[in-house]
Amino acid sequence: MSDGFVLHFGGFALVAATVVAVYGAIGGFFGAWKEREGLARSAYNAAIAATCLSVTTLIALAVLFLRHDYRFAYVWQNSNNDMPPWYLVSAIWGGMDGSMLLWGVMLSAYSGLALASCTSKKLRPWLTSILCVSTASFLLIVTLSTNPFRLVPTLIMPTNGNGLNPLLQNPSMLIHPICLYLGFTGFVIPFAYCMAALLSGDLSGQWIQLARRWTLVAWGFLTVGIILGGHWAYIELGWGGFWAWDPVENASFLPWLTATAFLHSVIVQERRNMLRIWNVSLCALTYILTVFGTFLTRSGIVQSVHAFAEGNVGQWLLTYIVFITLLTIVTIAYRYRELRSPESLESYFSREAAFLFNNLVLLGICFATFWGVMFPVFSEALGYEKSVVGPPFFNQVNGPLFLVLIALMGYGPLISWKRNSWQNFAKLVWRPLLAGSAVTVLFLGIDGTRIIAAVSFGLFVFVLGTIMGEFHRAARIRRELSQGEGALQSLVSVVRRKPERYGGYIVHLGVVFMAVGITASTIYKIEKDFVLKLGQPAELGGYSLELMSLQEEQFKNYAALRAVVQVRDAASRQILGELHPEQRFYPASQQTTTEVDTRATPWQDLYIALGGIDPELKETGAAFKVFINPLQFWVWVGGMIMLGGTLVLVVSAFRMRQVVRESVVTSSVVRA
Amino acid sequence: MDIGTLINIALTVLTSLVVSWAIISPLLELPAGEVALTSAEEVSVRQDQRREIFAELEELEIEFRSGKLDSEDYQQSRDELFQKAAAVIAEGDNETTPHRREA
Amino acid sequence: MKNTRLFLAIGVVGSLISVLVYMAATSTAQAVVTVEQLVREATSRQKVRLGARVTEDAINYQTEPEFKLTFSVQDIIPKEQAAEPLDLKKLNLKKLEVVYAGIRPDTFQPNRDVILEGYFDGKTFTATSLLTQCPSKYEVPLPQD
Repeated sequence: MSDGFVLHFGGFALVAATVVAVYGAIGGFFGAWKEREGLARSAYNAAIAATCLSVTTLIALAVLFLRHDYRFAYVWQNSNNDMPPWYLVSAIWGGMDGSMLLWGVMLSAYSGLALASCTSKKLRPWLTSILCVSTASFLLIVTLSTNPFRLVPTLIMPTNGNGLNPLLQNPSMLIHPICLYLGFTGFVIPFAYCMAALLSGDLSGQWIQLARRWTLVAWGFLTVGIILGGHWAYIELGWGGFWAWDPVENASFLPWLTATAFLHSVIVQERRNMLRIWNVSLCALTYILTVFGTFLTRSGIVQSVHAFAEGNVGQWLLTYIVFITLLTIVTIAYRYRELRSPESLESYFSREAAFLFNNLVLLGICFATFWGVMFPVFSEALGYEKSVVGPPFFNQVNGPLFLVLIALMGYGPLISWKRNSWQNFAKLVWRPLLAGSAVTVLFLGIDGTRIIAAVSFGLFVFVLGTIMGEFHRAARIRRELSQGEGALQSLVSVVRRKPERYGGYIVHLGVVFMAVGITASTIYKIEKDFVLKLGQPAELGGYSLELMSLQEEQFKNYAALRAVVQVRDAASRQILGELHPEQRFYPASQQTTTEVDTRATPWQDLYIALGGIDPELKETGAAFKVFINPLQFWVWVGGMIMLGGTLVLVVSAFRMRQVVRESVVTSSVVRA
Repeated sequence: MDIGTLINIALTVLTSLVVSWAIISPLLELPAGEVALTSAEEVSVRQDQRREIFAELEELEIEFRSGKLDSEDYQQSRDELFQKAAAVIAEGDNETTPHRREA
Repeated sequence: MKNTRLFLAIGVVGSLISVLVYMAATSTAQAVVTVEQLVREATSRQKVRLGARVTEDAINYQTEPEFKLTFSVQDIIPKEQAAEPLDLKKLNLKKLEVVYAGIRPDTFQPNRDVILEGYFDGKTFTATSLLTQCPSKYEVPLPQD
């Protein structure tokens, strides 16, 4: 074995994929620009070939891990002989090289999918070129800077590897990064359609339909990925929460916000042919933010518990970001005159305006979060003492902004396009508003100090009332129209007829539930550290906790300290259950992890983490961190409802067969 | 040479050949002819359009009866949608020119 | 102008949010300091964040009557400079005493890097938050012959 590379099919496939993607980018560009069909076809084939080759590379890397081939440095760094097959596969994305490769492969796979399903002759060559630019850039970075096929510098193959960080040997590691990456990389497709439309001059609005459906897919994966990450943090890390406004978490949040804004503002373009430049910019910004997100994680410019910076990947990614940003600005400027909408905003009291405010608030949250993440960099660059901002900053700014956003969720559906009358609006709004106000008054009566919580819960009830009202009214009117349909049947029909709208309402419902859970579990959280000794119970929040046993046990690759804590209702003394928090020590990596245990009911979570042995107490007691998180359960329920609504939206977005003909009737019907 | 290296070399050569052929052959061939939409596809596209328009009409009805629209806007939007529906139906009756799907 | 309402809306909302961001930033920002800086200046400071390394000096941990962890830290020397262990003594790094009122974290050990948030009274650092870094995996060197 020598320093460098050995002839291996996986390494070859990587280089081949890169070369072919570069060709696809350049050939596709000339094929599109000069309208040379042969060249465009050739570039298209190159893009498909790049997809197949990059997937092969990934499979080859998986094979190396599964066969414990420690000739390769990356395999050695991230696995050992004791790991089961599924963690061996997940170890692929456990480090820098493999995760960069995974990113590139997903970009390539999405590109192949989008190209194969694109039937527009005008857009496809440009689509090929832009998608290949993204694939080629990432694969170039992987090949030259973070190549997973480097060899170990020893002469003999090592017999065992270094092993994977025990924190990553977790079922969540199998899904969460995949989901998140599928979300991030998916946004390249709407971006490519957007650029293709601008460059080809085909601004008929067809690109919006195509961009929207792929944005929904990517957005869906990103949403689930973020929520899964929160859940993982909650049950694994032992600090009692699920979102820390950590830079890497925020990095995944930024494109989510702009994508959500885009999904709303496209509705305005489809309906009223407005906000065209806005939409093009948002689409591009979302894509740029996804690359920025991976840059933040891998460059180390801000400190984070998640970040795994090494090498000069950061510089490469930053170069790419600058390149893409400039390309976007130039392209939009080039088509500026054709893009300008003939329509304008007629009234602030209209649905267009509601969507506009929704966008402005989302972008505001995005701006604030970006500012908070980059604060250390900016403060230093501007000559001040380097400073950071943490959760208090984000909660102070984003909290109120999210409340405004949720209020808009309740307000928007009640408003019509173009203009509205106050009387009509009042008739629709008074009932949910009354219900919401009643809840607020109720909360203020119970606890007069927590005004924000009271207002928030009133707001959530208001929005819930509005959405339920929408479903109820639509189902009732549909029954009038169709005569003889049952109540449930008409509800289903309403959703099936206009899934874009009612699927969206389901997602909003999920958001409200999540908001309820987040507000309650944050504001009414009870937290205490204490020492529990055998036979001496302690009380917190209506529970009585007693340490029943504390034992040390030895396992194959870790030593465990296991506690059994009995939970009783403090008042009735009834036994409610047992909790088994644990602490593990992995000698190979010198790492300690905590295994939290929770007792979850719809009303609240009782959450216990073992803090460790006190040398003086030895085996008679230990320190525990105990949390009581009210309504935590609803955060996860809300997430699932959001997923359900997203599925409805995605299925309906892909249901409509692509209308390709350019006749006037066709294009105006599609926009209806 | 062991079997592993042989497989590696074989795969490498095979892949190179296939990929090269896929990329080079379109450069040498004549452009592919345009493929027309089959009549079955035309029908399903029109069905989609009709479904969209009727869904819009129903939604319009719901909005009006909910009290969100006034009669003037309601009438105007309804007329527009009826016009579009008529145009789609007329297209279906008109079978003179086969439409082309862009290949 | 055609788009007056649009730009007005953007302007007003944008300004409001900017004000909100500014106010929150100025009230919650923490200065990033070093041990050397704190010891040298010896003045009390509020709301600071400190990244440092736990020294090998005595660590005091009590769980009763309340949790209290006392230890000392010194500045982290970048990898490149720390190549030769002998130089550390020559550098004469200043040490800072830290008090933290909470459970000792699982990963907390001498020679581990920590991130502290809290305030400094001129002599001791009182940490309101203590985060211990996991030993960095990517620092593991490849096997050599």
